[in-house]
Amino acid sequence: MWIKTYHMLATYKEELFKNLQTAIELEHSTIPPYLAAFFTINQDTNAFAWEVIRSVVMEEMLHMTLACNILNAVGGQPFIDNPKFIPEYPAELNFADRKFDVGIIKFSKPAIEAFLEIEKPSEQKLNVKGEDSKGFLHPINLDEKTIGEFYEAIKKQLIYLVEEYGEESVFDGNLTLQITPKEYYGSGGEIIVVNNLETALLAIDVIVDQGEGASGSIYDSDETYFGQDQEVAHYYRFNEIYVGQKYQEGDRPNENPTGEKVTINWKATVNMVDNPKASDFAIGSAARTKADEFNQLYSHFLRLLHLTFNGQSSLIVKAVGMMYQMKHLASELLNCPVADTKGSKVAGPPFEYIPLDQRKQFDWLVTELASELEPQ
Amino acid sequence: MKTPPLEPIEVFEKLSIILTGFSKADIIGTGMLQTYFDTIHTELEEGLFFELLFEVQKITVTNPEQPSTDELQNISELVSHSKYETAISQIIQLWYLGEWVFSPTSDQNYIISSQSYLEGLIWKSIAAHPMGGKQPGFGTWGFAPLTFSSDSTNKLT
Amino acid sequence: MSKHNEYDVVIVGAGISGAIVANQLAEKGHNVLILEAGEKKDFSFESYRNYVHHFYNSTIKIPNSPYPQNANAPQPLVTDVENIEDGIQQFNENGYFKQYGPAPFQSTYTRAKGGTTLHWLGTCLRMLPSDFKEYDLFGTGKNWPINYYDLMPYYRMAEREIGVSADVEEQRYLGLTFKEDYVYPMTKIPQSYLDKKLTEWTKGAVFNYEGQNFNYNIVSTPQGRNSNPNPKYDNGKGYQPVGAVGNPDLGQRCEGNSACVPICPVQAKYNALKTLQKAVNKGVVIKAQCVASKILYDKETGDISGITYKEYENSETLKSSSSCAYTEKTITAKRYVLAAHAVENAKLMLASDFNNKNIGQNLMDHPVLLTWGLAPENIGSFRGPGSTSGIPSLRDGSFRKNRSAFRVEIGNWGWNWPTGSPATELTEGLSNQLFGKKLRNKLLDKVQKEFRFGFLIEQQAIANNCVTIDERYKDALGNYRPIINYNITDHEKEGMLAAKAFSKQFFKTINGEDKTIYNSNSGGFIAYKGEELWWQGAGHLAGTHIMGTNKENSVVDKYQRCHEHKNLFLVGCGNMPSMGTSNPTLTMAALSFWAAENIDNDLNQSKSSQSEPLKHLTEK
Repeated sequence: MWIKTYHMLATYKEELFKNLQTAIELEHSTIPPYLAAFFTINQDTNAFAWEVIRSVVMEEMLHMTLACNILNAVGGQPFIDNPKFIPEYPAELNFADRKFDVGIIKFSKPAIEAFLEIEKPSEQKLNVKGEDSKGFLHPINLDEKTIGEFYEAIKKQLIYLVEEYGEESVFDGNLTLQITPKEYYGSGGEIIVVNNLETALLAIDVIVDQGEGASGSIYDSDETYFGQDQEVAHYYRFNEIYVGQKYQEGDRPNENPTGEKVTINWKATVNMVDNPKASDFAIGSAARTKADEFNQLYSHFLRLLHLTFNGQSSLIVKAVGMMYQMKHLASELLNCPVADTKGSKVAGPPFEYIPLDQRKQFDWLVTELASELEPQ
Repeated sequence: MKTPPLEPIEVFEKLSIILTGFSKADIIGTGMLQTYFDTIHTELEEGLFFELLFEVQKITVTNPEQPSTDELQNISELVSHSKYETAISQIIQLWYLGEWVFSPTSDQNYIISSQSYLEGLIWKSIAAHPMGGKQPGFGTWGFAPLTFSSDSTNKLT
Repeated sequence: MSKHNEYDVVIVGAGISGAIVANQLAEKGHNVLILEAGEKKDFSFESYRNYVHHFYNSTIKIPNSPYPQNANAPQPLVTDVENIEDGIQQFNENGYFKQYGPAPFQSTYTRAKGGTTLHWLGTCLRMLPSDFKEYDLFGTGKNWPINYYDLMPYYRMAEREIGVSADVEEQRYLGLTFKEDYVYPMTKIPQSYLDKKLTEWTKGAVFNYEGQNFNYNIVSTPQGRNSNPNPKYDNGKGYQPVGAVGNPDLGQRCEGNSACVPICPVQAKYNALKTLQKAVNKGVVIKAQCVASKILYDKETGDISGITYKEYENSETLKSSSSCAYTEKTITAKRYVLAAHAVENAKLMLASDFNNKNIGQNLMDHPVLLTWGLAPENIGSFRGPGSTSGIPSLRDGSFRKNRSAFRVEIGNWGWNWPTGSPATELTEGLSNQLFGKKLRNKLLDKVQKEFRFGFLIEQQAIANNCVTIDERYKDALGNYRPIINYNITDHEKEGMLAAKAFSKQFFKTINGEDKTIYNSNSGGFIAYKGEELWWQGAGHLAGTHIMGTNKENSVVDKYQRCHEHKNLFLVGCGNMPSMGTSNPTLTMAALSFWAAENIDNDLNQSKSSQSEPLKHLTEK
C-alpha cells in the first residue's frame, strides 16, 4: 500500500516541480524587460521611475530566489543554465484569458503597459492594453489569469500534498541547498528559508504581495512580515509611473492614485532599438563586440545562478557582482550607435543564451570564477 | 586600392584607440568620442588639432587596436614631436581622467561632466572602477583581482 | 525676544550629536528645535545626488569636495595648508582657519545638514578601557570622569543607531569586553583581498620594537556601513538595515563604490541625515541657514537666557565671499545644547564671553603618519570601502608611558591618499611618453600592487593646542573665524618613530617594496631623530571643551552639562578628554545618547520640581 502512496506522491511532485520550475522561469523572464527599461533612463532625469524600476527588479530577483528555495525544499532541482530557460524576446506570456508580448524595449508607455499586464492583480481591471502576442519561441504558458492565481494554485497543491502525505514527505529537500537571509540581498523584503508548509506559503505570499499587493490593497506585506517601511506593490508602482502620480493612504486598488504628482520624463530615455540581437549588429562594430560580450557575461551569470541554487549558495555574492558588471556593460552598449539606423538609435543588452561550450573567458571575469564556470 | 579619406571624427577615433590602448568598442562604449572631439577642438590653439589629425591620417595603421612595431615607431615619433607632445598628453589625460588638464597643477583644469569622470579609462586600465561610480557590488573587494594580471600570459599586447 | 519658551530644547548643529540628542528627546515627547548653519536642503535623494555630482565634477577630490563652500558658514579645507618654505610651515590666509602653528592643523569638518558624517569613513571602534584612565595607568594624558563600563550601554545604542557591521568575537582584544551574548547589528563587512593576503603573508611573524614583541594580527574593523543583518541581534529580533534617506530601498548593502570619503553615493554608509529624518518625523524642527553667534547668560546664576543667531536668506550668494544679508534673532528654550562641532562649540562659547579657561584648549586630532609601498603580487587596489581592516596590537601597552599608541589602518585605495594615485601614475607614465598598451600595462602593473598604511597616532590633550578668537578675523556674516594654535609633542613623535619602524619591518616581512618617500616641503613633514616623518589630519577634531570633575580642569561634568551653566549641555567630540586610538564618532554618538538621557531627566525633574540628582551610571 505505502509503495503505491509513495508512487502517487512522486507523480504529484513531478507536477509540482514543473510548476515551480515555471515559476522560476516566469520570475526570471520579467527581469530582462525590466532591466531594459531601467538601463534606458537616467537616475537624475527620471529619479522616480528609476527608483521604482530598480526596486522592482531587485524584488523580482528575490522572487526567483524564493521560488528556488521552495523547489529545493520539496526535493526538486532548479534548472537555470539551459537554452530554454531564457525566452526569446519579445517573449510571449500566455495567461488563461490573454496573451501578450514582453520585449526588451526602452523605457516608454508601451513598456510600462506590458509591465502592468504582467503584474495585474486578480481583482484588477486593466486600464491599459499591452501588445497582442505575435507568437514566439518558448512562450510561458499559464493556466491561470494572473501570476497571483498561478501561485495560488501552487499553494493549493502544497496544502493538498501535505494533508495527504504529511509535511515531512513533502518537504524532504536538502536544507543545505537553501539560500538564507545571511546571503546578500539588498532591497525590500527578505530571503526566507523554506523548510515546511508554513514557510513555503509565506514565501509565496511575499512574492504575490510584492507584485500585486496584499489582497485588496495597494500595499505589499513587507511591513507586516519584515517590519520595513510600507511599500506600494509592483503593479501599483508601475501605475504610479504610468499616470505620473503617487498613491497615498486610503487609495483603493481600482482607482487611480490621488497622492503627490511625480514627474515622468518620457522623452529623457536612451533611444535603444527594440529587442536587440547581437547578430543584428555588424561584425567588428562596437555594438556587436559589446553585445557579444554581454551575452557571454549573461550566460556565465546564469551558470553561476544555477550553481548557487544547486548547493553552492555562497556564490550568490559573485552572481550579484556579475549583475553589476552586466549593468555597466549595458550602459556601454547603450553608447554604441547602430549603423543602419543612421546613428539615431543605439544598441542594447540582448540577453541571449550562449551554449556552455561556446563560452569564453574575458579579462573582466574574476579569476576565482573562471574555474567554476568552465564547462564540466 | 585607395581608401576614401576619413572624416575628422573617424581619424580622431583611430588616434584615440592608438593613444589609449583601448579597443574601438571600449572607446565608443564611453559615449564620449564626440564630446571629447569638441573639447579638444575648443581648447587647443587654432588649427593644431586638425594638423594633428592630418598627420595621423598619413600614418598607416592597419589595425589601430594592434599596431605593428613599425607602425608604433611612427606614432612614437608623433607623440614625442615637440609640436604635438603637449596636445597628445592632454588628449590621453582627457580619455583617462575625463578632465581637460592644462597642466597637472593648474587650477584651470576642469572635469568635462559627471559622465566623463565615470567613463575615465584610467579605472579600467587598473582593473578597478571609478571611485564613487560603477560599483562592483557587495563583497566583490574580497575576491582575487581580475585576470589580466601583469604576471599572467594574458598581458595586453 | 519671545516671552515664553516655544521649545523645550534648542540644539545648535544638525550633525550626528545634535541629531541623536534631538531624536532621543523628541522620542520622550519634548519640543526640539535645531539651528543649522548650513544650507537649506530637503531630505530627498535628488538633493543628495547634487552632492554626488559636485564630487564627480571636482578636479581635486578632497573630503569636502561634494559639499560646496558657503561664505555664510565657511568650512576648512585640507588644501588650506600650504607648503613649507625654508623649513618653516606657511599658512594660507584665504582659508577659514587662521593658523598660528607652529604645526599645520590639517583636519576639516563639514558645515551642512548631516555634518561631517557626510564624509566620514565610517570606522566604529570602541575606545579601550585603558583609554579612559590613561593618567592613572601611564601618568600621561587625562582621565575621564566615567569609564568604559559606564559607557557600554550607550555604545550599544550608538551601534544600533549607526548600524555597525562587525564580528564581536574578533573585537575582544586589549581588554575590550562586551555584554554577554552581544552581537553587532550586522555581520562584518567582508575583508578586502588585500587584508586576506596580508594576513597570509604575516602569519606567525612579529614586530619587535624596544625589546617588545607585537603581533601583526589583522582584524576586521567595525564599520558604520550596511552589511547583512545578523539574525542573532537584539536577542534574535534581528536588525533592519537603514537605506538612503529619501530612497530607503537604496543603500541596503555596501555596493563597493570606493568613495566612502568624500561621499557614499548610495548611503550604505551611515550619515546623520538618517537620524535627522527620524527626528523630523517625530516633530523636531530644523531651521537651516541659521548661524548661532552668541549665547546669552545671566552673569549671576550662569543660566543661559537665549541664543542669538544670524539667519541668512539668499542662498544665491552662498559661494560669493562678499558679506551677505542676514537677520539677527534670539531664541529661548528650557535647555540648550551645543552640538556644532568641537571647534565651533568652543568658538561660540568664547564669542559669548564664557569664563571657563578650558574652553578652546586641549584641541586634539589623530595625526596620521602615512606610509606606502607595493605588495609582492597584485592585490587589486581601489576596490571596496576605504579600509576594512586594521592592526590593533599597538593600541595599548606599557609603552604609553613613553610614547603615543597608534592604530594601524590598512588602506584599500592604493596610494590615493598619500600620492594622488592613480592620476599621478598617469602623469608619470605620460612624462615618459608612454601611450597605448604600454601605458595601460604600466598603470596596471604598478597600481594593482599599491597599498598604504595610515598610523593613527594618539594625541594628548594639552592646553597650548587650542582654538581662540580675535576681533580681526571674522567671516562674511561677521562671525569669528577659529584661530588655531597647534603642535605635535615629542611623545607623539616617538609614537610616529615606532610607526615608521613598524612599516619598514612590515614591508620586509611580506617581501614588499617600501616606497614611502616624503616631500620635505609638504605640510606635516618633520625630521625627528634622523628619521623623516610626515603626517596628515584624520578629521578627528576633539577636546575643546572637555569633561572632568570640576570647572578648573574641565568645561562639562560627566553628565555633559556645563559646570557653570546648568541649563546648557555640550555634546560632540569636544567633550572627550582623550581619544585613545579610536576614531571618535562612535564614542561621541554614545556620549550623545548619554547626554540626551540626562537632559530628559533634567527636564522631567524641573517639571516635577523634585531635586533628585541625575541618574547614576550603573553597568559594570
